[in-house]
Amino acid sequence: MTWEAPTFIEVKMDAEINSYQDDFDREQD
Amino acid sequence: MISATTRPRLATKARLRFDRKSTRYMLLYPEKGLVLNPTSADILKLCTGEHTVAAIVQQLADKYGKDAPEVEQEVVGFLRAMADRGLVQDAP
Repeated sequence: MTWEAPTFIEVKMDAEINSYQDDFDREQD
Repeated sequence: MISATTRPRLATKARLRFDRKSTRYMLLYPEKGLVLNPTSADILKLCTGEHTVAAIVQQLADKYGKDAPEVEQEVVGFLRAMADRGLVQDAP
């Protein structure tokens, strides 16, 4: 594996996406 | 302040999730998210409050075959950016 400088991109998400992600994670029951 | 002896952990509002669609890890928090590159994700996976920054650096240096001082500089810089956003805290 190659070490890359740690980077991140900030993205705006609305509450619906976050709750959708929660539901999806719960489903992954 | 993040230093070698800090035991970083994710803030309660932040959750690390793998996004299958983009095949990237994301750090989710209210109304926003950070899309992480693999190195950033590796660092945050180790932020459980159990490991010191020095231990995290050593684990990653071993994993990637890099010199610890070089890794330390980038890990500390990244964790400070996360701490500035309130996403990483020092474990009590």
